[in-house]
Amino acid sequence: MSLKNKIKDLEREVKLRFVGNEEAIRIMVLNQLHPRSTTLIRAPRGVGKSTLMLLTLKGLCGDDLVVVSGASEVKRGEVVGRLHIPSLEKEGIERVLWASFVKARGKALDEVNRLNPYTTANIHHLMQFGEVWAYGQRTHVEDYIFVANENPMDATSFVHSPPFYDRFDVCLFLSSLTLGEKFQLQELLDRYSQDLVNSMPQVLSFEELEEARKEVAAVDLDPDLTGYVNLLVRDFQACIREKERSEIKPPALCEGCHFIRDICGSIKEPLSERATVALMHLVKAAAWLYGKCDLEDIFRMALWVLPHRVILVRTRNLLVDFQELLGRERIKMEDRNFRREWALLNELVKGFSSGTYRLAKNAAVEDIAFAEELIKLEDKWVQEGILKREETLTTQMGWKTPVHWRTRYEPS
Amino acid sequence: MSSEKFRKFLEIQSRRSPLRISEGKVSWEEKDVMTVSYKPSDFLESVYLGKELQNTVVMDRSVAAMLQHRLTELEKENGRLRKSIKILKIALGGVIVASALILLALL
Repeated sequence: MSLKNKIKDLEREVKLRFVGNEEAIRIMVLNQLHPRSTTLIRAPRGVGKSTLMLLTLKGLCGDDLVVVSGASEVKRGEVVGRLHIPSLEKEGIERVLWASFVKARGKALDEVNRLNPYTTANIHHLMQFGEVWAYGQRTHVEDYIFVANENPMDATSFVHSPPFYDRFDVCLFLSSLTLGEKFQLQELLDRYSQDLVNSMPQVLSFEELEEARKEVAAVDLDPDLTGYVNLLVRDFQACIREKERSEIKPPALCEGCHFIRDICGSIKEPLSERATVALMHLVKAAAWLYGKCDLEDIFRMALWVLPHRVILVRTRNLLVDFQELLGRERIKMEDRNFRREWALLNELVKGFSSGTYRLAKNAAVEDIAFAEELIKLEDKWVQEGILKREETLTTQMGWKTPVHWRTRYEPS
Repeated sequence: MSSEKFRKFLEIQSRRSPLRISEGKVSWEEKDVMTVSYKPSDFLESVYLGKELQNTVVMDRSVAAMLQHRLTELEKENGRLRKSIKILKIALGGVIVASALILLALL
């Protein structure tokens, strides 16, 4: 059986044991197709977070998985490692016994919101650098699958930092079951004798998964798909007033800003570049597994990759609010085609033309991402003497562009 | 502009939404675009002449007052007709009951 069919089998086997939330399961499986995958599952209590976590890990790792529970006052030694006391006593050597969690291919973290900050810091380091430290010793962590879950509404939660959550590739939001789905669950429990997790077979070995990951990594995406991913993330990052560095945040920062009605006005803390990487992984996985991926797929996948990384100015229902922002982004992308922005930029990259430049300036006033690229070209033309500084977009609009936007053009 | 993939992205997008450049003038063709007129339309024209309503509709104060008066009158008429229907229902019920009693008496 080919690797693709085995991955599809994995999805099918999980769906046989987990009712509803089909899109979440699909994204869960797609997200495992790159090295050191990290998945966060968020849902209220009793919706099946732990079940989904364990079904996926069992399907990929079999028995080579370790579950650590944040609710059980787990200490650092149980997650990272502890000293081998006999070696210390008899030989005076500090030898670290690395925890099973570090060595296992499948790593599960239940109720991560209840994990104490000291142990969380070790997990954070593991996700960032692929290694763990204990007692002055370091060990490299092999490729793994890491799935965590949490109910952030839980009263006993610790508040973990945004950079920690940013290291999760995707965040799956699960919904409780509808009336019909409850009947399906009861039939499932009867069929599998109330033991869904242990009935889950290991569908592919970790070595096969690593092989699949290599094939996915080798996928060469079309430039337009890459462009859409980059553009989508940039639109959720860009701010003419540099909110990333500003002490004042939106909405106060947006007072009097030309782009106040744009998507940027709804975002307090923007996305990091990890969002681009994570979304690109999913797009490659979808292209490999299904043979195709288009703009609509990118927007559907963005709903799982982006919301947990961003802080909105006003949040009532995160997913609904984010879906609305994605809807506005979709319209923005169509507006760009309507204004022929990329065609104009394409012409200007080849060479300056006053007619094309004038149209591009008009378009840039509506679009920060486009304005950034035009400003870079303007700097080049100013240094070449084609354009005067007073004629540029930033001067005419009165924008104070950040110093790093201006590149020092060096002729080849 | 150093990325080759970025240039290819621009080229692909340009092919999808092409420009026409001649003698320094830039133009392009709009296809399958439904134009939404931002000019306001007159309310009475749409009611009496069947013209399509635009996004913004305007009406004179006198037309608005006339509509308000018509609505009030129609509400009053509505109320009168409801009362009449109620009375007629009661009368009909009475006639049916009386007929039934007469039939019983005859039998």
